[in-house]
This record gives sequence, C-alpha cells and structure tokens, in this order.
Amino acid sequence: MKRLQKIVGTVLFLLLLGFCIGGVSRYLRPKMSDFYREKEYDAVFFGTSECYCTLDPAVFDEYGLKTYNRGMPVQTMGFTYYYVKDALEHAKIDRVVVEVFGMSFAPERYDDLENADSSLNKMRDSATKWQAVRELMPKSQWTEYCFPLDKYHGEWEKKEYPSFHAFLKDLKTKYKVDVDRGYQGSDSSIPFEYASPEIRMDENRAVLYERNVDYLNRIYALCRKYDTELILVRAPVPCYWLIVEEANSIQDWADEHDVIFYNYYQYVEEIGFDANTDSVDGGEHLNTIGARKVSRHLASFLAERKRTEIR
Amino acid sequence: MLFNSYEFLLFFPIVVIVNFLLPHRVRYIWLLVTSYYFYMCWNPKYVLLLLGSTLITYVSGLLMERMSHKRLVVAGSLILNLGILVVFKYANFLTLNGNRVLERIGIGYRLPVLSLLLPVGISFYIFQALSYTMDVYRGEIAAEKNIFRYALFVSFFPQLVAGPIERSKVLLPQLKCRQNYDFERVKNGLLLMIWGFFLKLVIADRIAMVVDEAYNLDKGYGAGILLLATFLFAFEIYCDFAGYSAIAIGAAKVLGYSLTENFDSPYLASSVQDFWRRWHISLTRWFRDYLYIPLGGNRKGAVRQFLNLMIVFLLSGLWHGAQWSFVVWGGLNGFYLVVEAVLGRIRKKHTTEGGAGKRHGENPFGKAVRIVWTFILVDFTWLFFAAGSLSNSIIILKRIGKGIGHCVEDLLQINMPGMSQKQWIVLAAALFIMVLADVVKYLGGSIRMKLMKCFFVWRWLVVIIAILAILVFGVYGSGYREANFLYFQF
Repeated sequence: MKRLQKIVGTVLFLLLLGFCIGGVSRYLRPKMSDFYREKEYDAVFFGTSECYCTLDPAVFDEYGLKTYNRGMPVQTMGFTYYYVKDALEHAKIDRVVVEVFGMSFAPERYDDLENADSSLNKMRDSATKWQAVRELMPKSQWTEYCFPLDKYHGEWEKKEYPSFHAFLKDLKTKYKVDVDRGYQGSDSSIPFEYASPEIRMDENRAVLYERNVDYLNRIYALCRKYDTELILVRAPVPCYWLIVEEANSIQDWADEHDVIFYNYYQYVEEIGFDANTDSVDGGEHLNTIGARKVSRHLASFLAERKRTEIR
Repeated sequence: MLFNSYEFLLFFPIVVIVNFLLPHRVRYIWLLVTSYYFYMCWNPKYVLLLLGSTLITYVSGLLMERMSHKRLVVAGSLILNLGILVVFKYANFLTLNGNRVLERIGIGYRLPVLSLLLPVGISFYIFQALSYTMDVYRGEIAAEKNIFRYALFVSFFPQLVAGPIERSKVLLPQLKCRQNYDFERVKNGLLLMIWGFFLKLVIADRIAMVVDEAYNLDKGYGAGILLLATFLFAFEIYCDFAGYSAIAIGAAKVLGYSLTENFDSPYLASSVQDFWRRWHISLTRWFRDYLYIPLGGNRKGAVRQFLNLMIVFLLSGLWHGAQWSFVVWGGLNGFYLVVEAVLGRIRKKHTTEGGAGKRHGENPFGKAVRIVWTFILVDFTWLFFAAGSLSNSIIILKRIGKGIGHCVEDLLQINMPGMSQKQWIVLAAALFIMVLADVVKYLGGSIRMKLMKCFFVWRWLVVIIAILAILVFGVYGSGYREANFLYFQF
C-alpha cells in the first residue's frame, strides 16, 4: 500500500511539474502566429524573403481573397515543404502559392542554421514540426525544439507590464497579431539597372539542385493529397543569367506536372515593373510599390480562378 | 559531460534506474562502466591516464600487503602518480619558467613546449588514488583485491572530475555493501542536486557574466567595478564549487552512497583557519593527513609549524593550477594562517600569564566583525584566483589602488557591467537565499531536512518553484556560454 502511495505520489508530482514547466514555456516563448487562428484560406504563400516582400495579403483582400504570407528568411525548399505540410494540416487552403527563389539555394544553404532556426520557430508544435526538426536541424539544436525553455527562458527580462491586468491579458493571449499577415513591406526605394530583355528571355536551362527538386515533388504530392492547387511564382527580382535559366527549368517541371508557374521575369512589361521605383534594395527585393504590382496581377488571376470554380 | 548539460539529465536517470534494476553483485560493474563513459565524454584518450593511475595504485596496494619493502612501494606509487600529474599539468609551466631562466642567464637553448591538454579532474582522481596507497601503507585499510571495485573507487562518476576527494576507508567499504533502493534517500539526494543546480546556474554563472566583463582588462573598468567584481567572485567560486559538490553528493546519495561534505558555510568562518575547516573540506583534510601531519604539523615547534603551513598552502596553490597567481593565492593563505598561529600563541601566552581571561571578541558583535574581516582577507586572495595570471592580478591591484577614491562614482554609473537591472535583482534575491541557507546551516539546522519533514503539499510547492526558478533564471541554453565548473580545470 505504501509502495503504491509512493508511486502515485511520484507520478502526480511529475505530472504537476510537467504542467508547470509547460505553462511557463508557453508564457515565455513567442505567441503563436495568427495564421493559425483561421481555418480556411483562399491562398497561402510560401517561400523566402522574396515571398514576404512580394505578396501582400492586403492587396489580395481587395480581390475578395483571404490569404496569408508564410514566407520566412532563407526558407529552403525543405522548410517550405514542412511549412506547406503544417498549413495544410491546419487549414483548408484552396491554393498553395510557392515563390521559388528557394529552388536556387545550393545544398549548403540548408546549413544556414541561424536563419533556418528563426524559420522553424514560427511553426506551431506538432508532429510535422518534429519531423522538420529531425530532417533539417542538426542534432545539437534538437533540444531547443523539444524543450523551448532552453531558448526562451531568458525572455522574462523583456516582459514588462503597466498593470496586473495587462499581465493577465498577456497570459490569456494565444496568438501574436500580425496586421500585415506575414508580408514585410518597405516604402524606401533604391533604383537599379534591371536585366536586359536578352537575359530575361534567355531560353537556356540550368540544372536544378536535386534536393530542391525532391522537395518540390514532395510539395506537389502533398497538394494533390489535400486536393489543393499548387501555383509557383518567381518574383521579378533578383534577375541574372543563372536564376533566369533556373526559372526556365522550373517552367519545364511545371509543364510536366501541369502546374501553373507565374515567372514574372516574363511579365515585367505587363505589370509595369519599374527598376527606378520598385525595389527596396537595388534589385534584391521588391518594395511596397513593386509588391503591389505583382500582388495585383496574381490576385486578379486567383480571383478569376475562384470565380470560375464557383460557377 | 557536464552536470549542467542535457546529456547528464538523460545519463543520470538511466544510470540510476538500471543500477537498481540490476542484481546487487553486478551493480559496481555497471557503475564502473558508466563512470568511464562519463569521463570519456570529454576526451576518450585521457581515460588511459585514469586507468594508469588506477592500476599503479591497485598493484601498489597488493604489493604492500605481500612485500616487506612497503616504503619502496609507496614511494614508487607516489613518484609514478605525481609524475603523471607533473607531465600533464605542470610540464609547460616548468618549461616556460625554465626558458625564462635560460634567457636570463644568456643561454640560447629553449626547452620544447608540449602541446598537452590538461585532462579533466586529473588532480582529483590522482589525489584520491594516492590516499588509498597511503591508507594501505599505514595499515588503515586492507588492500582491495577486486580490481573492478577499486577502479570504481577511483572513477566513481559523481566525484570523479571535481571531488569531493574521497578517502578509501570511507568510500571503498560502501562500494562493497548492499545499497538498496530507499525512496527517502533518493528524494534527499535529488533535493541536494536541485540546490546544487540553483547555486551553479542561477548564482555562479550569473555572477560570471559580471566578473568576466569587469576583469576583462581591455574594458578598463575602474576601481569600484573591480572591487565589486572581486567581492562577487567570492560568491561565484563558492556557488560554482559548492554547487558542483552538492550535485555530486546528491547524485551519489541517489545511488545509495554517502560522500564527504565539502563545504560548511565557509564565509561565516571567524578566522582563516576556521575558513579552511569549512572550504573544500576534502582537500584540506587530504593535505592535513598526508602532508601537514607527516611533515610534523604543530608538534615540532613554532618555526616548523609555520614552515609546514607555508609548504602545505604553497603546494595547495600549485595543486589548483600551474600558474604563479595560484602560488601567490596559496602563499597568502599560508601567510594568514602563520599570522593567526603567531597571534594565537601570543594570546595563549598572555592568557596563561594573566590568568583565565575572557577571549577577545566572543560577543556577537565581535564575532560578526571577525567574520567580515575573515571574508575580506579571503576575498583578497580570490583576486589572484580570478585574474587568470599574476600579471593581470598586479594590473587589477594597481587600478584599484589608483582609483580607490572614485569607487562610489564607478558604482553609481547607470550601466553596470555584464547584466541588466532585472538580472541584478534576481542575483540579489538568489544570494539572499544562499546566505540564508548558510546561516541556517551554521546555526546547526538544515532547510533540506525541514523540507523533507513538512507536509507534502508545501514540499511539492517549494520544489516546483525551485525547479522553475532554475529553469527560468538559470544561465544556460542558446544565447549563453555553457559554463564549465571552475574547479574542472584543476
């Protein structure tokens, strides 16, 4: 009897301790992205900084489309795959839009741990996240994901509340509200010399990295599984020989899989892209003006597609 | 493998669970295997030294029982073990100083500098192994016949790399006894481990941020900050080492073994002699039993006693590290003890001549003054410990000397080094808890024992709060340097 009492006592104590540690972890770690608040989206965008600088959900609102941008810095195709998987497991998404700059990342970029780390931190805890950690993170960092306090226990220093009420409110808050829904725009502008039509219209093909193609295939299979349409997008910047040739190879892949690919190197005239006003950093990323142009073009297409489906 | 690592948090429960599941007769083999694994996590190659020292002392123990030339055997064991220590710990120190001498006297030849890494805990396990040799030599313990059990005595993982340095007559018999699972003892051991983690992660490693910053000479901090860092270093080294010891003793307790207490409220000591009865007790006893007393102790007159004290403490300094700053640290402590011994003799003489006079300073105020004075004396020696080298110590002392008039201005500056204001508040609260626990212990109580006896709800509450405090306020994980225990380098 006494033995049973000890066992029950130990188990209860460990459960209580686990509950307390879980509660403190939840309080100290960053709030969950408000992407998870909604259960249905017309489209969700994935990809690198090119994605979150290019596709603005506010523009898509104007076309009656509910969207969210899940682009992250240096989101390699591996991370994109897991972000897509996580999103599809969470919500009903009609269209998965992948900005494919990540297809140009050499395998070494998968070891860019600092950015990869910040990328995975925005994914909710789930079996999928754990798969992503095991597949993409070095073992030395696994503990940070198994035990979030390892990374976030120092956050107590940053917490400041004007009142006890504010503290209670913070405790109850589950989501971090992002009014831009993942889009990160900037109004500043640095003019640059855009690639010549000769470069943009180059028809040569570059060999794509096998690992990236593998993840693209997996994203494609995932979308089929969830009966979601996959759409690929290449923002108009950056633009140089190799990346144009890689985009051509992606076009071949898209044709082969009957996937729509908006390669904006070929739509610069149509959207009215202006190298003098549309880039925030001289040709690496779009600013709000450039993003609006691309977003409106894509939103118009997606809205039309949605209308066709409803009919 | 550090105690404050995730590997240990996985390793330790596995060791404990498997240990108690195994039949008693093979448990020591399991503990031996896990102890060697624990040591090999640092550098597998250096396990050969551990093995070498174990074999030398094991064989010497057996030989001493069978041969008449005991002295020869014990001398051989001492030479071989100390030889290992000299080569791996002091070779470069001797070489560098030898080269300086050669340079001074104008000889162009330079002794080659060896590129040897200092094996973790070498001073600890060699001293422990030597204590066995000497105990067998003195006939205080019979030679251990079972080599695996003896190897476990030398390598028992909780105390392998930083003590407590166990005496063979204390630990070896325990390794032979049946250690049954005892729920209360396990709880007690775990509480002690939690206390150790609190000292290490919340206090020692937090102070380290300040001390490392302030003692970085390139930053040019003034006298006030340097004095504050020196004051805090006393608590850093105490909490670091006492924290390690608490984890070690607690871990051993969980497994069913009792290790020697290594600290007993040292900063409440009322004299330097008292301090050394309370600080690193296992090492102090080692030096007392195997060096001070064989040298004659205080039985051969005042001069010999003073000389013996100086020898012991200079060697104790060298034991801590192959640097002149450690020698100075040891020398200062020896000097303090000599002065205290002189004053003690004068006082004794005065008391004898003047009748049974009341000892000066017996009242609480006098005692408090002596405690503070002892702390100041001891803390001054820590400066040499913390500075990293003798030249750095001298620079710091000069800076303190020059800026002593501006101390208050230094301390009132808005940005204190190393930590934010909130961190300072946490540190102050943690230090208060540590001092409170020491005062209770000094007065003969024990917060841990009181906790063990109280209603389980309160016990659970305190333990959960303590664990959460360590997890939240501890210095560990990403963004922080994984801080080694200071005494590992010795």
